[in-house]
Amino acid sequence: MTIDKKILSGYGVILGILVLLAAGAFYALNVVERTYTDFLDIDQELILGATELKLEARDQAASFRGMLLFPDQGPGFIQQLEESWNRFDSIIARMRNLPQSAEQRSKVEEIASIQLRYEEEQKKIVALIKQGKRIDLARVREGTFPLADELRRKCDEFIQQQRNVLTAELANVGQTVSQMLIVLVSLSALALVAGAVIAFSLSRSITRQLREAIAQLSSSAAEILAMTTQVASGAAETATAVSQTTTTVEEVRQTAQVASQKAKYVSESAQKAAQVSQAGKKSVEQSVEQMRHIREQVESVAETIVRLSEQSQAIGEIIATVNDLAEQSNLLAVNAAIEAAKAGEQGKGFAVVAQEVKSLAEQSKQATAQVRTILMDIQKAMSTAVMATEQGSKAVEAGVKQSGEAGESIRVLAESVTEASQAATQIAASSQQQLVGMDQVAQAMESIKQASSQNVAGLKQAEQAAQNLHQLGARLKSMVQRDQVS
Amino acid sequence: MSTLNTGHRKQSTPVNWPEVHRRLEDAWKKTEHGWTPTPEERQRILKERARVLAQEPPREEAEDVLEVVEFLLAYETYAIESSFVREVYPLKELTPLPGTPPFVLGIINVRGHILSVLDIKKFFDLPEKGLTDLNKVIILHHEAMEFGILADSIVGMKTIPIKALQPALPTLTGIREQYLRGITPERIIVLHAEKLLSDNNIVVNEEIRAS
Repeated sequence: MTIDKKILSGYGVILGILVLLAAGAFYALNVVERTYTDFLDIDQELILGATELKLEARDQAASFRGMLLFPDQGPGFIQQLEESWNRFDSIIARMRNLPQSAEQRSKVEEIASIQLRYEEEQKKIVALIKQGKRIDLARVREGTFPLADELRRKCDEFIQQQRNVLTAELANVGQTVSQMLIVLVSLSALALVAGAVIAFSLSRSITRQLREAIAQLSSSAAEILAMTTQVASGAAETATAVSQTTTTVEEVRQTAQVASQKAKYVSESAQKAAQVSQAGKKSVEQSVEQMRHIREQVESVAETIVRLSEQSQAIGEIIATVNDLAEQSNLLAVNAAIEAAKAGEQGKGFAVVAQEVKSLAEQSKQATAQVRTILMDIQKAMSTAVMATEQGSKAVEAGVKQSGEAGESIRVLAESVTEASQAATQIAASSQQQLVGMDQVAQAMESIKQASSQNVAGLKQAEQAAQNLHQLGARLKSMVQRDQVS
Repeated sequence: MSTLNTGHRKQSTPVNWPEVHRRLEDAWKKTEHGWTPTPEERQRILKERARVLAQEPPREEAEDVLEVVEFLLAYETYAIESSFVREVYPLKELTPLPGTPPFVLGIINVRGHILSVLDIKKFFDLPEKGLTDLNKVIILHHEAMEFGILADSIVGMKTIPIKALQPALPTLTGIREQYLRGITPERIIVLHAEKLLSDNNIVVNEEIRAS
């Protein structure tokens, strides 16, 4: 239970008792007041009414007697009499309206009935008088006087009774008031005791809690003091570490700058390499094209050589024919010589011609043999040339293939170089960002440095505050102990 | 790569294309003007002819010389009297004839004339010394007899002094003595055409063939 709740509940109890007391007092006051009001409004009024009734009865008797005594002034008395009747009736009506006990009501009704009878008697007399007849006084006395007496007596009785009632009720009221007083006094005493108990217990409990709290406060303040001292030394260490870290960050920043420059350089180199490889690719494509051209040329050469070979074959056939012709000429020459020999002396000239023809045929044969030899050489050379061109064609084919492979390699290389270029660009961007980040880190380290120096200052203040707290705890402790002692 | 290397090595002496063009041009010109001999050539031919004509023709007497047709057979030189030679003819369209002796090769058609062709090597029982051309036929005739003998090639007409003829050793050549006329100092074997043509062996064979 917290202190404020304790205090509130203690005060609440006391306040409740006070409210109870006040309510009792009010109640008692109210009862008394109501009783007195009843006295004033009802009983007093009844007494007053009864007194007035008695007076009216007296007035009526006086008026009636005056009427009887002084018949000449009869109408005036009659008028007074009638007025008195009316007043009596109104008083009776007023009294009937007041709250009253059954006994009182029966008394009032009794008075009213007596009045009624008295009034009737009077009216009979009044009527006789008005008629101017003679009035028997004895009868009048017998008829009206007892009634008047009874009326007065009843009124007195009523007044007496009412006074008795009043007295009894007054006594009753006094009793009630004294009872109330007793109740109030006892309640006050209870409230006093309760208040004392609550105050004592509250004071005790609050003081105990306060003492505990102060003890805790005191020890906590001491702890805070110690902690603050530790934290202060820690903050000093942190400041040192932060300054070291700042130096390191500066070094890292420079390294990052160098890395950024290098990455830019690498990126540029990679781009150049990409361009170079593009050019190489183009060159290889051109060389492939050239190789194709060469292959076509070589094929054309081979075709030409084959055609030449075929033509040389035709030449060979022609030569064979020529050889055959030479052979036949030779034979013809021999035959001619034979014939010339047969002719004897006349055939001698012919023999010379035949000899000449034969020699020509021999020469042709030799020539054809030479041509054949040359032709064979030519054909051998052609075979060599064809083989050479075939090899050349194959070499060109291989060259085309290798050029294609080289082109492919260069293409792959170009792609790799392009990728490398992109990577280098990314690295450059990253290292730029890193540089920016390092700057930010450096700034942050600066901020941390400032913050730690502020922390140190703040810790000194906190130390002071803890000192103050410690002193405050001691003071509070002494205050509470003094309270306890007193 | 090896092919490329060899190619490079072959092309290490670069082709002198202008030289090649020049040489081709020369060759073309030579071919074009080959039919008209150059002045030097003309001179050479004329000088040769003059030299030949300047030679004194060998003196010869009708009785002493023998007109022969010289021919080659199985790497040896033979000769036969030209008076028995009707003509020489290339061996074409030989038709082998069954049921004949080995020396009869077959028959040929010479301008509508059917002739039998003999192989005198086999006839003389000479040893075979490899294949030779055997593409010439020397047609011999004497009286009613006519046939052809095979020859590798015909050398030509020749006049041989009869005095120069010496009897050859039969063992040396293996040819039967009766068919030999003699042998010249140039180792030309001169056949006895008349005996050959009138040989009974051939006739008998002919009879056998006819039967």
